[in-house]
Amino acid sequence: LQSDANQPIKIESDKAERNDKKGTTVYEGSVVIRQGTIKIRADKVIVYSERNKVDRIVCIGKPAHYQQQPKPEDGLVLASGDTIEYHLAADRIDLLKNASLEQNGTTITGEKIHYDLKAEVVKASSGDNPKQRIQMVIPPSNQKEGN
Amino acid sequence: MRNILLMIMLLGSSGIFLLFWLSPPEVFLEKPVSDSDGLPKADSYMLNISMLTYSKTGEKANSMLATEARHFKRANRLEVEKPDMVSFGKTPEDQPWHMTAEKGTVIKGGEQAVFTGSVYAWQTVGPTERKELTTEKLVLYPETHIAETDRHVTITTAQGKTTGVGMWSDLDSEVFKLLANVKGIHRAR
Repeated sequence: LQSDANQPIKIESDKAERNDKKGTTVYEGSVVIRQGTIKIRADKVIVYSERNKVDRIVCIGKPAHYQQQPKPEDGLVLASGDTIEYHLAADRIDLLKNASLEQNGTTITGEKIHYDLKAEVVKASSGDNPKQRIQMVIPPSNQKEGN
Repeated sequence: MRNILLMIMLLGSSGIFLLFWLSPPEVFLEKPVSDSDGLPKADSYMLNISMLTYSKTGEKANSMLATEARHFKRANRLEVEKPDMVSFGKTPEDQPWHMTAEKGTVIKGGEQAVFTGSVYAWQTVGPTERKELTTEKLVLYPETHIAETDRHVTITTAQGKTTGVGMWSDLDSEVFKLLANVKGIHRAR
């Protein structure tokens, strides 16, 4: 939801290491992040803070999973990638390596996917690997509405 | 018959008299209850103590206030009540760490300070904020500024709160390792 971005970020994990001089907190082991309707599951999460606020969260997994309810009437957005970077100030998540994003049956896969949370705009790219192409699957029911 | 009875009574009363007469006076005195009777056998017992220790290079290392202290020479242990300790940083710019608790025990000649009971440790961060650490037990190694606990611990800063069970920390480099059951709350905006 639009209000997600203002919610506190709650994280659970097996262990963690805070380095207050560097402004990082590293969570490891079955990490679960919740912020409003956003939920991220990963093996390892690094929270970068600046001036007492979270600036960026990097989630690493095999893969890491992301889900959010953009609007009450919308279906869940489900995304995954070996690395998920959540840029709070920009309200954007970057899915890196084995990236995929799905909503209402439409799926996009590729090497990199950038998802603007506010505008709900998805940009996919092949990244450094030209052979890796973008694939998009739109289920029939959506196609009819699209024509 | 009557004479015999008289003779027995006479002998008995003179025996009782002799028993009293020969007994040392202390037997009849109330056993003095000294103040430290109920306390373990400390070598010295102090009230309202104020301690200041210096590092090997002559800088202030730690200060401690306490309402009571008991020193056990052979065990090389100091037990204190309501300790209020300040552990100074390595350089003057480093903010000191303050620690209060119900009880404290300084062992191995000050190599370790064990705080138990509502342990509250804090350090000033920035102009107005504090970094706070609360737990039920904290072991501090004053010389290396390492602190650890095997209990539940909460670390609170302006940025958020992190809790866990078990912690190892290097207070100088501001690294805090939480060992299990970690929960963190971070401010997003």
